Amino acid sequence: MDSTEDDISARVLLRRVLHTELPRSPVTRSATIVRRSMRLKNTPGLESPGSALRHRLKKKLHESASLSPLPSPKRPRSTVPNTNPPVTVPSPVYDEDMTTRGLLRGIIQMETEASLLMSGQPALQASEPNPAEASMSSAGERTEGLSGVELSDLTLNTEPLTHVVRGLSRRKLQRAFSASAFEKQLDQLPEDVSHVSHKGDISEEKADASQDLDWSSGSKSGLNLTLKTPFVEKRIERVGLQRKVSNRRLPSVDAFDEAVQRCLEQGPSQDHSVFQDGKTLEDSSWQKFTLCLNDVTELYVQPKKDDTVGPSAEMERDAEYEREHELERASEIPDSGPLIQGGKDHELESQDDDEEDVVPSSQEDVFLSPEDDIVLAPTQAMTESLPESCDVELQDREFVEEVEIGNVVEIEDQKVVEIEDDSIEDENVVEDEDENVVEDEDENVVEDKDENVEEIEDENVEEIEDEEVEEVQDENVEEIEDEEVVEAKHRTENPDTSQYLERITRRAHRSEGGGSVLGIPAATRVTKSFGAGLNPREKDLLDFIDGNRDLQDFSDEEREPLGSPEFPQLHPAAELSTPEQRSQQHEASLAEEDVPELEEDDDAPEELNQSEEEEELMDSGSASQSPELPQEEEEEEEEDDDDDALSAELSMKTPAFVRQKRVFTSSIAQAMPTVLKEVNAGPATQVAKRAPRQKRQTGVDVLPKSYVMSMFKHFAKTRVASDIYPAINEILKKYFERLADDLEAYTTHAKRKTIEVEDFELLMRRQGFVTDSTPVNILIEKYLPLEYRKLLIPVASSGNKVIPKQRR
Amino acid sequence: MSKKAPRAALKLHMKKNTNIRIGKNADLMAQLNILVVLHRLAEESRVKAFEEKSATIKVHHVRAVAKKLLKSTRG
Repeated sequence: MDSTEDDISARVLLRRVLHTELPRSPVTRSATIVRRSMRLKNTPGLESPGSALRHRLKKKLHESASLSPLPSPKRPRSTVPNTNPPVTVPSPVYDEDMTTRGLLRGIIQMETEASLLMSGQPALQASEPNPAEASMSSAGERTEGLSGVELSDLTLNTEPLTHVVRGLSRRKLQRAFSASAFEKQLDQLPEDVSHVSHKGDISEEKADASQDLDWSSGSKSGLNLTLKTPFVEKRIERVGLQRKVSNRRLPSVDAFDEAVQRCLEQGPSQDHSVFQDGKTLEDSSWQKFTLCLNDVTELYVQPKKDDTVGPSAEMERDAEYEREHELERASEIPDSGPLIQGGKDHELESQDDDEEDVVPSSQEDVFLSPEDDIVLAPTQAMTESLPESCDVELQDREFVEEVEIGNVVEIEDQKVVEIEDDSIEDENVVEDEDENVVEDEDENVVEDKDENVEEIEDENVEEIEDEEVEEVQDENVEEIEDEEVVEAKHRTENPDTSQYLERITRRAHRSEGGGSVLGIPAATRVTKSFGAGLNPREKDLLDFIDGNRDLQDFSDEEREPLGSPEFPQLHPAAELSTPEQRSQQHEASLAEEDVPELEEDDDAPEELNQSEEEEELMDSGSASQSPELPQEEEEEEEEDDDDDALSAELSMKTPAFVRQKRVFTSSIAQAMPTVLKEVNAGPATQVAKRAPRQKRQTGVDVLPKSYVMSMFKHFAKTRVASDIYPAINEILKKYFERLADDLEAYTTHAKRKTIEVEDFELLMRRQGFVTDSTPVNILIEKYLPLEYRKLLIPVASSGNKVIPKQRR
Repeated sequence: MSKKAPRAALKLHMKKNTNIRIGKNADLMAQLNILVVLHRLAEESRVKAFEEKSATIKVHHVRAVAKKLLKSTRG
């Protein structure tokens, strides 16, 4: 009690001392000390007992002053008095050593020097041993400790911190060690925990406790970390890898074989491997898509390697490649390669010579590097014929075709057929062959090819082939154009999976990507129904072919009988028609199925060609396409449900890709479609599919389904039925009408003639979406994509708080 | 949210009946408005679906909500 009283008094004294000393500037120790001592002595009047204590302290301080700032009372703590001098850099601190403040400071300094986190301990310890002094000191420390700390430099504070940090670092190390050690000794964990809790409380044991803590915590953490994470991760990784690998091996063997063959054919280009992979992956349309993509890249590479054929020559090349594949399978890759190239040259020449040159040239135009393609086509055919390993039938046909037709187109068709056949090696082969023969002999070899290709695609589904034929016949000019595109695409497409995939993807795209796709190349895609998309194209082509050349008979029946003579005749027409068709098809298919088709074709050139054709069709057939668009929309909607994810993604991705390619050939292709259209106009293919679509065109305009559904799903956060779209559409329509009226009213009220942003703001306010607490800008940032946000808010960029200077 | 609504379609809608013109970025605001409304619609429908203890939003949920919503957002 006395001590307490003394303490209190001491504290008070200390405070007073501090106060009194503060104003004084630091002077030499002796002087200050003397003065302070003097003051202290002079201040005994305040409280004798306290002063007495102080005096004692001062004396002690004096004694120890020379040695170190730490006063005697702090002996227990002052384990490192010697270290004081270096620490006592700050003069003010030094001067005040004698005073309680100085003592405190010394203590602090001592503390820092002392054990890491023992900073607190010395203070505590000092206080404990010497209740009187300790109390004072502790009190002083507490009271002045803070003040001392405050007064003292930050270094003091930092020192302990650094020490603490070091300690922590050390602890971490210890933890690491301990963790490893503790891993072995799990029993210690509980003990450590207890230790931690205890030690944490006691500052004195901080050092130890910290270590223990570290150990315990470290062990725990280390255990957790070491034991769990590494093992688990590794296992997972391994597992995941294993699973993935196993999944990939699932693809059908047949496809794989085919792909292998193709790859062999394409030996030079490594892309083929990818090609194969894509083909082999028949499991999912996605895989097929990837195949297509791969193929595309491959195709591009191939042309570079083999022939510097421009991307335009996709179609032909695709066919050629396919043929090459087939050939390779039969024979050997290297042979086909050079042969192809050589053949290409020959073909080019031949093409130029023939009347067909016009057509092929047109075709070429369609394809960026027509010559190359053409050359390739024949070469492929030749190569194919050479190996003869492929379906003999096909080869024979090719030969015949080649000889008779002498057009690349033919060859391509054949090749396509062959390729398809080879790849399929099943039902389709026979069918294709037949078709090929018939087709080849018919007007448009290309068409045949397309058909074959398309048919080949159907290999997987024979039915489709039949449909194709029917569709082709049925569809009209518009379709023809589209068919051409489609067929062209088909040709290029890999017979098996690609084709199949294409259809699927196309469908998907149409259904889903229609909205987005339509927006972009409005005219390009005459949406043919999904199944019809591919098939109709073929049909269109067929019809077109028939119509063009009055060979309707051929398309179905007389194809076979038609011999070489017909071919040449057909060629020019076919060529013309084919490119047009192709373009048409492309356009039709491109819009929606660009991605899938293109991908499936695996031929960049194809895509380009298709794109070209599409573009051409777009320019020329924009009118026709517009009506088709609604059809597409319809199709899209239908198909959306089918392959929403796939198609959407594909359409999103490839369209841009494809479109770029189309740009190349657009200029050239434009000429063709016009001619083709004229020709196509003759054969009136089925318009049944298109008629309803045209009618729907105006009714579907509210907002693209994909967009609306995605937004709705996002907002709903739960699953949403897919048939909700029409209902939402209705609602939105009504809402739109009302909205327009209101806005109009607002604008008129403002005596303006244009609906402005302000009108909208007023509207939102009246609707209750915007209140005083929710400014419009917030909503803007919340809902709109960044590009739009920037438009509305002059200087809005991802949450940057910049005050817009001017509001539009 | 991060998608782009077709501005052309929106514009078309707005100008369907009248000859009034649309400001520069007013169609963006229209999109915003549509989004907000759609959002509200989805929320309400979701609630309604929950009432019927179905995890999926069905058409009748939406319809039931639509009328009330259209009335509320009159402005």
